[in-house]
Amino acid sequence: MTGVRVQDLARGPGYGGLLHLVLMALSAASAGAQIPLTVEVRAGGVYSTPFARGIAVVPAELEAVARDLVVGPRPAPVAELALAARLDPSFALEFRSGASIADVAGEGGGDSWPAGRMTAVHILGGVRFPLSPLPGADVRAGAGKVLYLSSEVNLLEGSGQTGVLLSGGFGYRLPGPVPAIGVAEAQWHEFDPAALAEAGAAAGAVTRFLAWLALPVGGTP
Amino acid sequence: MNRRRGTGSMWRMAVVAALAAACDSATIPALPGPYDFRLAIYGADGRARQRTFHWDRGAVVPVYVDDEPVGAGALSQAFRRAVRAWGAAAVFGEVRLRETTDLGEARAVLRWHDATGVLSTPMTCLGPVTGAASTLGCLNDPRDALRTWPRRDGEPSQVIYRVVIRRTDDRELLDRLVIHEMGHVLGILSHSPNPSDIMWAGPDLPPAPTARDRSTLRSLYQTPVDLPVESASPGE
Repeated sequence: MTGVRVQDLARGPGYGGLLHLVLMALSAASAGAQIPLTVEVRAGGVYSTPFARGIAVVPAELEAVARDLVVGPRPAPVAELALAARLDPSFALEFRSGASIADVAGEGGGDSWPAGRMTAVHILGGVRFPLSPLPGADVRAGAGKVLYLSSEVNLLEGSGQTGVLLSGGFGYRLPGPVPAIGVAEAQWHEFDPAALAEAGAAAGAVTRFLAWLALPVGGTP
Repeated sequence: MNRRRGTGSMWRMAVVAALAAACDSATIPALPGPYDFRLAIYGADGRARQRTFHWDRGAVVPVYVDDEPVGAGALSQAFRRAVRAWGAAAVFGEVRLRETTDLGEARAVLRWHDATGVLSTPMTCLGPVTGAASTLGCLNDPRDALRTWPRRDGEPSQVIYRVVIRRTDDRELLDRLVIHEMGHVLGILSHSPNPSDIMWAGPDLPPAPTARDRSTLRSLYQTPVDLPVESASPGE
C-alpha cells in the first residue's frame, strides 16, 4: 500500500452521510411547510489551477539552470447531485455533493508526466438568487469542503488537506423543451502549505473552474 | 446613472480582486542546492566519466522484496516506510516506488545479505558487501549502459539493481538503511558530502530525506539520462 489516506476515506462517507441526513431533513421540513423542492443531476467539466509549484536546479555545462515545476489535476469530467429548496420567490437554498476523477500531472521544462490519479469529492451548501433583470438567470454562492483522495499521487500522500471551499457562480435556464440549466462556477480553497513547504514546494490557493449542465429530475411542486 | 456606474465599477473591482487573490501563488520556498547525483564510471583509459541515470518521469518502480524468512516482515515494513519517505520528497510526481511480488516485472530486488536470493551473480556484477547495505547495478561491456541482472531460475529479468541489507534488530537503523538504498534505486548514484543527508555514506543517517536530498532528487529528474538501460536478454 502506498498510503491510502485512511482518514480521508473515512471522511468521504462521513460527508456523504451528512449530506443524506440534510437532504432527508430538508425533504421532511419541506413536506410539512410546503416548500418547493427540486432535485438536480448535474454533469460537466472541471479545470483546476495547480496544487503546488516549485523550482528544480538543473546542472548545465556553464552554470546551473532553475526550472519551474508545477503539479496538478488535468481537466476532468465531474458529476453532482443537488437538492434546492425555494424558500421564497427570490431566494433558494441548495445542498450538493459531487465527484470527479482526474489524472494528475507534473510539468516542467516544457515537458509533462503522469503523477497518478485522484478522486475529488466536494460537498457544499449555498444559496441562489434570481437575477431579476435577466429572466431565467441566477447568481449562486456557497461554502463547503473538497477532499482529494489518492493512493497514487505523491503530493496527496502526506498532504492534500484543504481549507474551506468557497464557491460562486452563475446559472441560466437554457431555452428549449428540456428544462436544462447551464451553470458556470468558480470554487476556491486553500491547500495545506505545511507539508508542501517541507518538500520545497509552494502551496496556497487552488481555484477550480466548473461548467455544468443541470437537469431537474424530481422534486415537489 | 452615476450610481449604477459606481455599482458596476465596484463589481468589477471585486471580481478583479477575487481573481487576483485566487491566482496569487504563495512564495516558493527555496531548497538548498543539490549535490552531485551522477555515477563516476571509469573507462579502459582510466578516466572517470560522470553519468546520469533515472527512471522515466512519472514511473512507478516495482521492487521485489525478498523478506526471508517469510512472515518476519521487517524488510517489507522498512521498504514501505522508504516508499512513503521518497514519495513525500517527489511531490511533483517524478517517480514512485511500489512493492511487487512478481519478479518478472521487478526493476530492483531488496533482500537480506545472508539470503540465497532470486538473482544469480555474474562475474561482471560481482561486488563485495562491505558496509551495512549496498545497491549494485551491472554495466555492459563498453561500460556505457546498465544491464539487467540474470535470474537464478533462468527466466527473463528486468532487474537493474540488487539491494542487500545486513540483518539487524535495530528497526530504526534498518529503516534508514533501506531509505538510503532506495535513494540509489531512484537514481541518486553517488553520496552526499553532507553527513546530515540520508544519502551520506557514513553512519548516523537521518530518519528521512533532508531538504538537500529532496532538491537532489528533483534536479536528477530534470536532468537528461546519459546512462541508458541495455535491453534485457531472456534468461541471460
